[in-house]
Amino acid sequence: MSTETDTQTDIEIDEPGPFHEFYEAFSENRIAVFGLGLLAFLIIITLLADFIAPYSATAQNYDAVLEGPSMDHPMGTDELGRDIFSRVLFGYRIIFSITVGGVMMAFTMGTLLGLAAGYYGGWLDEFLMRGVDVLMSFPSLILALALIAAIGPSRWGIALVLGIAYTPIFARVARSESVSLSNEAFIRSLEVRGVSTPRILIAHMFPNVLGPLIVTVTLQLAFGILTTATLSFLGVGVQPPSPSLGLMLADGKDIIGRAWWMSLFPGVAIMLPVIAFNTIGDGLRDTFDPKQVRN
Amino acid sequence: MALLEVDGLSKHFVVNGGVVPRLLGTRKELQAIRNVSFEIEAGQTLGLVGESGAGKSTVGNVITRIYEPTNGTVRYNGANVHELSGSDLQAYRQSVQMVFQDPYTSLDPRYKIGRTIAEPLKIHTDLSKAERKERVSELLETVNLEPEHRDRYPHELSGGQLQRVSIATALALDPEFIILDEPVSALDVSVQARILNLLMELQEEYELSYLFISHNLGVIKHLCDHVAVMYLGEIVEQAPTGELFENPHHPYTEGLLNSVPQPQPGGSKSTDGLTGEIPSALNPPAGCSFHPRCSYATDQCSVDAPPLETLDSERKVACHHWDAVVADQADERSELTHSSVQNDGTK
Repeated sequence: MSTETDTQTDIEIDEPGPFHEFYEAFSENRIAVFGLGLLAFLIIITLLADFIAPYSATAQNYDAVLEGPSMDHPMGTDELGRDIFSRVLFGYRIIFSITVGGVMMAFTMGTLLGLAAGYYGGWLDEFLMRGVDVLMSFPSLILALALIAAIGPSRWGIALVLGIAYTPIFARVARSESVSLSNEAFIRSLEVRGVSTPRILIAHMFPNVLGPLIVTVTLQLAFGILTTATLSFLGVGVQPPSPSLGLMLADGKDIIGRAWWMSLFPGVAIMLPVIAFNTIGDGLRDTFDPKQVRN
Repeated sequence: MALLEVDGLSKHFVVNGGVVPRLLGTRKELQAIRNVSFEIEAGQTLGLVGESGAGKSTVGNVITRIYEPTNGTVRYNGANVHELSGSDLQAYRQSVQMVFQDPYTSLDPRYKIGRTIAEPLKIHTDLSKAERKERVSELLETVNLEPEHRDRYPHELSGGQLQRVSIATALALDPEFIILDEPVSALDVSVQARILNLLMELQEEYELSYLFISHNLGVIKHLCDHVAVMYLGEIVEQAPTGELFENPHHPYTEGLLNSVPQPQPGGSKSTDGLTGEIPSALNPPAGCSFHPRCSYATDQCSVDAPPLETLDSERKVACHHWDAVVADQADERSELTHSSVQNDGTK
């Protein structure tokens, strides 16, 4: 008995809990920590846009058309005299809300479908996964364009399109985890104890597949930002006069020789969250899957 | 009426399923269990023994409705288990529990021990949160763990402790019948004995019936009232434990018993243990499925499958030549006594 108590105290000292372990492993990855810092910075300036932005996003000033970066306009102005810095800040607000909304929708639908497909197997699995294959056989941008053509461009329309276009990715990740998990004895023991299927899926399987899914969420957020910006660039995304990073890039491309700031700053603004999400995603993947070789 | 009656149970799995193999006709059936029948009386323990791949675990999984049977019935208190629904099914879920082989994977890794044990209580009873907590402490005590283990995660406990937790979870709803699927095979030998003793104590205290699935004859001998020996999905011999161990009637049982290492100093090392491998259940041999490995086999064995014959009320055997097996053992025994007498004489 006394030996048992001894080992338990040892355990408490050596293993301060799974979260601490995770934190240790993640914080070892310098690039991922940098990405997390960058993301935190971007989120803060987005939330505080009302206080930080010197001008309104749509205020036009014909006395200051196409001015280069200056103290008054840190990122210059566009052809309507709008402050690009302010437009970038408010543009973040729109692009983040669209991307996060879309990815969360895909995460919810995809995870549910994938878990059910992997758990039930059989014809349901075949049916859902062949559907996923069909969706995945279209490049996601083409799929998004087609869907937008059908439902018309709007902010929440784009979010919905992202949600549909990314559902298959989450469904696949969730299904592969679900298949291996369904064979574990603890899932079978839950069935034997009469735990209902929805409860098994949501209360037991979901928390156990969350790790790999969070990695996918982070990486898909990066893709989502790019896709949203691309749709805007092509003119089917956020409609003017709402500030949209992609559209600003498109407006600037024709006069890049005269007003480089009109393209550069929105371009960098798109790049930063993509870098942040990608580095965080890579870091999380390394942390959740320590079997992968770390270079 | 017996508590559990398994009658003519078969379970076939389709290997290589799916649309394409179906069209090509390359689908195969794996006969995991074939025409298995046995009964378990209240308060008794039936041991199910056999090599890996004999279908032992499948029997357990069909009884607990993880699998639907291809043929045959499982009756519990007279009711067909696979036709239960609604509140009858919930009642069945409460009174029949299962403990799995690998304690490391049979608990949800993200649930604290207390939450795992309390879950069946939450589903099947209307105990309040405080009452559940109290019951969990009680159960932990029953399986000789501390109430403090409630707040630990499975990865913080040892294999033996985890198996105790599994047993506590199984006991949570006052079951009548527990299927023990190799409950100690993954544990250290010293821990095995303690878990087995715990199981025997619990059986006495709560009047439990067990179906004890194992490949370990020593463990079976220790715990079971009756033993059924399985080979390639079929029961080949069934008898009260003592009789089976003293006087096996089936050549396979004999082989299994001879394969057990005898730790007696100077004990004769048996040479007639089992040879060869268990054949694939995808392609079982014709006739008696044991005949390719059997030293008693004759031409008849490769053609006719022997039925499970009832010799007396408690003993069943499926072999054309069981009398030869019995006679052979009688010879061996007399030889043994003879040689030991001689040994005594020379000393």
